[in-house]
Amino acid sequence: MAAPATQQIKIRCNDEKEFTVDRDVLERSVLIKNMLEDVTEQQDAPIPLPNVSGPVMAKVLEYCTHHRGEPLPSADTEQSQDETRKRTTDISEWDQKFITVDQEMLFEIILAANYLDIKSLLDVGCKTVANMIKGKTPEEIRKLFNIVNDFTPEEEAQIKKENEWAEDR
Amino acid sequence: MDNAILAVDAGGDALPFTDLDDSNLHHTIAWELQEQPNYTFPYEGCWALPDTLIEVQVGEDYSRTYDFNVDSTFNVVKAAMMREERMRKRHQYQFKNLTKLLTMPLEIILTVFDHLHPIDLYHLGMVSRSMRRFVYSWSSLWESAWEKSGMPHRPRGWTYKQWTALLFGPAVCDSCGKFVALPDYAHLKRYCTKCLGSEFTWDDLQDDPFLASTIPGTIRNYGWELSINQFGDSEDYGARNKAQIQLMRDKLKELRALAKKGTAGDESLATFVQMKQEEVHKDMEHARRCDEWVFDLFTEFSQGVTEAQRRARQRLQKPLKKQGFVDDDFSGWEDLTREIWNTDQLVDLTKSSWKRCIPLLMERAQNDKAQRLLKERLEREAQRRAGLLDAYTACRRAVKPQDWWMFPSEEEMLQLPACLDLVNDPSEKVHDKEGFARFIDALAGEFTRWHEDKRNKLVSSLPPNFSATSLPIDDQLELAMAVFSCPGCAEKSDAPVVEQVGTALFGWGEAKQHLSCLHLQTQGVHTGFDPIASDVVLSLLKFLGLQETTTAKELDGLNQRFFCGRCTLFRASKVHGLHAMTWRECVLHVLDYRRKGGSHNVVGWHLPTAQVHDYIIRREPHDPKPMDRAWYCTHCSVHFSEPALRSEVVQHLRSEHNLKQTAISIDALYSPLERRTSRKQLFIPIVPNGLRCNLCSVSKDRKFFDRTQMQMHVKNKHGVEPDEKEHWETVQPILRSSSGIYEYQITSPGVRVHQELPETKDAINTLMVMLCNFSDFDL
Repeated sequence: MAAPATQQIKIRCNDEKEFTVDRDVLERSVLIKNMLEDVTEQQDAPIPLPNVSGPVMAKVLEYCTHHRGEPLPSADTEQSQDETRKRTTDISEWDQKFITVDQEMLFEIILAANYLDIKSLLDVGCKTVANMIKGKTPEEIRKLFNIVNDFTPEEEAQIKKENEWAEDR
Repeated sequence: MDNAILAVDAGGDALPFTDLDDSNLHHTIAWELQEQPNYTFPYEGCWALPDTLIEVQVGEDYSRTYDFNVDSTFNVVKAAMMREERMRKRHQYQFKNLTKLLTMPLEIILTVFDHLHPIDLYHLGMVSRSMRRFVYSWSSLWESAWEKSGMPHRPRGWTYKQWTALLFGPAVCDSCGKFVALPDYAHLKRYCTKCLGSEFTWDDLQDDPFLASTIPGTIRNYGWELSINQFGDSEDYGARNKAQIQLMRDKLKELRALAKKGTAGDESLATFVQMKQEEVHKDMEHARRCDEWVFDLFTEFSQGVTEAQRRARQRLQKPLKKQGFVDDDFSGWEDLTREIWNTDQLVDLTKSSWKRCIPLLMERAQNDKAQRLLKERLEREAQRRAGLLDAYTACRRAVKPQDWWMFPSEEEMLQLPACLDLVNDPSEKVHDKEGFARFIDALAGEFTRWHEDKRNKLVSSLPPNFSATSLPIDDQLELAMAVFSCPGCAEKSDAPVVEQVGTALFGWGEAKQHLSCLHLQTQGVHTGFDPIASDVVLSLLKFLGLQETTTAKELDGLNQRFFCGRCTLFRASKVHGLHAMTWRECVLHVLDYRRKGGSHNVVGWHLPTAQVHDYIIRREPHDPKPMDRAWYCTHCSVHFSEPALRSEVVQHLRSEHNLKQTAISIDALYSPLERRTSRKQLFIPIVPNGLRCNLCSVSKDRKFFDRTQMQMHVKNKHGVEPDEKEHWETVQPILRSSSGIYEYQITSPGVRVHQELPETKDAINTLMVMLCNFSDFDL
């Protein structure tokens, strides 16, 4: 059932912080969109979002407000988005600026996007993290993740020879 | 060197931290350079075997010794991929620590890894055991990454592990385990050149119809193998593995043996060959695609590096241009950058490589700028000099030839302080033609000062006896004894004195024409009084009984000719005699003999009889010589740059100035520059009682003969029997001689000894005494 574009929806975060947001903004989240579609009568009670905190929700809403009106990814657009991703992993300028947050907030946004099922925001977050791994040498990656090299010399020699001609390949 | 420090697994080939041999060490260092731009190590840019010491020189002063093999290899696939990824994310913000990701739900981690490139997954697999297990357990990650990357898919039957190891792995030969090896996409192995040569053959295998098509040939591109001289060639295409050939021969032999036994064998042979051919065809197609892809990658990579170098150079140029550098100062940068890159075997434009490059570029630019500025300054000076000279020439052209002496030579003019200031002016001020003309016009005072200074120097060189005459300075300079010489002309020229302008300049009239002599400027010497020449003139004056105050003009007016009393008679036309000379020629004659051998320290003169003098005047050639190209019209400056013959000047005077009667001494100026063509002096037989023919028609021009010659002359020319009383008359050549009357000895300049000898009344007798002293004299 299509609701009026100006309809205001209340949401409540896990820290009791409440937001009143236009419905079309909230419907960027597939989770909330489905919830709203399941509810036939208008309710004044806020929608509880137990996995999202207020500050994170504010960031998410900032993203949704900026991208309101853009077509939501559907089954048909899934493929085309993949194709787009194939060509580039670049992030738009606004999104880059938006996602320039500290590490804690970045992963909170990713988790929130995953929970709220906002695929484009999840992609922005994951691409941002992936870009931090890209182009790095193994040693740089170890430093990035604070991982200790636990290969034995024999194992490393084996890794080196993995491309050797094998009769049973 | 601490191996542990360097054993950073930058190349992703996970070398052990200990027991690194030299090759591994260098390999590790090489990869380190590629992948860690700020990493510094003592071998600067090499990544190959330390086989030989190579000294490489770039430019004139850039020389280094390298400890690496001539040929070296880098993995272009890996380098290009890494460069692309690093370039893409260089402006994005980065966390130094990303441990939070590992605490995320698996779903999130997979979503993040889903955005990675295959080379990133390859590197993740090198991080640790657990990470390796994780990365290689999710094949969907690899498939997705490969799909997005646009890289060639894995070969038939190969895992992503094997494929990524071949593409991104170290340049280790799969056969011998040593560096440096290149991947062969047909055999899917890395081979060094040595193993390729020993294990492969370029034989076309035409002895068996199935062999060539059932065994793959190498596709091992040299495109990414650098050497000191050049990139490689294409010899590695089409070589076949010897072991595979032998195996295939054995297999075919076996199948053919089976075929001989029955039809089933035929089928199995055909099936096997067809299957193998299809396999090889597919593999080769894949290998070619890989080869083309890598070639394009390498091309793009190289262009990227070149472009990055260009941009870096431009960035460096921008502030320099504000400091006065121009584009021309950077013209050598491109070649220099390429030389450094090739010599240092640098792969990519990293901060460290660029940092090493900058001082050399700066040095080149500074040198080029200095050379440019010097060149510009020299060009500016040359243009100013040319402008000055053009204006100076125009200025002198506007003056008649008889006044040219008032101008210094072009070289001397340019050395005037005002001209030097103008030429060497450091500003870039440009003067036009009119500006130069005004400048030269303003130098009139300088020119006047110049020739007055020269004249004063001449006057100051005159000896005291000139001032003792109480004559004004101008008159002193006109005295016959006022003879000057240019030391430069006298010393430098090998021409006879009589031809050399400057060796004897009579009076101010001749000396002023010589003021701008080149010798004077180059040697710093000055035309000055010549005491020897002056003494010769004095001897002539004494001989003629004239006063010392006789002017050159008065002496010229006498038009007297002389014979040298110190010369031996020389033979010409079978007669002994002497040359008849003017007083000026007498001076040059003595100077010439003194220069040749020091003779004529004592001078003496003979005076011809009136009869002989009259004969000389009529027959002697003109002086100066009309055919000497040193004549100028005195009415215009038409001969400014090209002096003419006297006849040409006369013709010019008639045609251009409508002068039907020309006075050579007034209308034409004889002014040789450095050398003059001397006239041929008339030879007069000095024969006591010389004979002259009465039968010859032009009696005035009759020659003098001795008796034998006259007899021959009468007999041969007139065809009559000689008769002494009728056919010739006796003529005396010498009227009187200074020998026995006056002898003037020149010992050294400035020291004169006058020796009065007893007077000899009979000049001819005196001469005879002289002649008899010559042993070769034969009457």
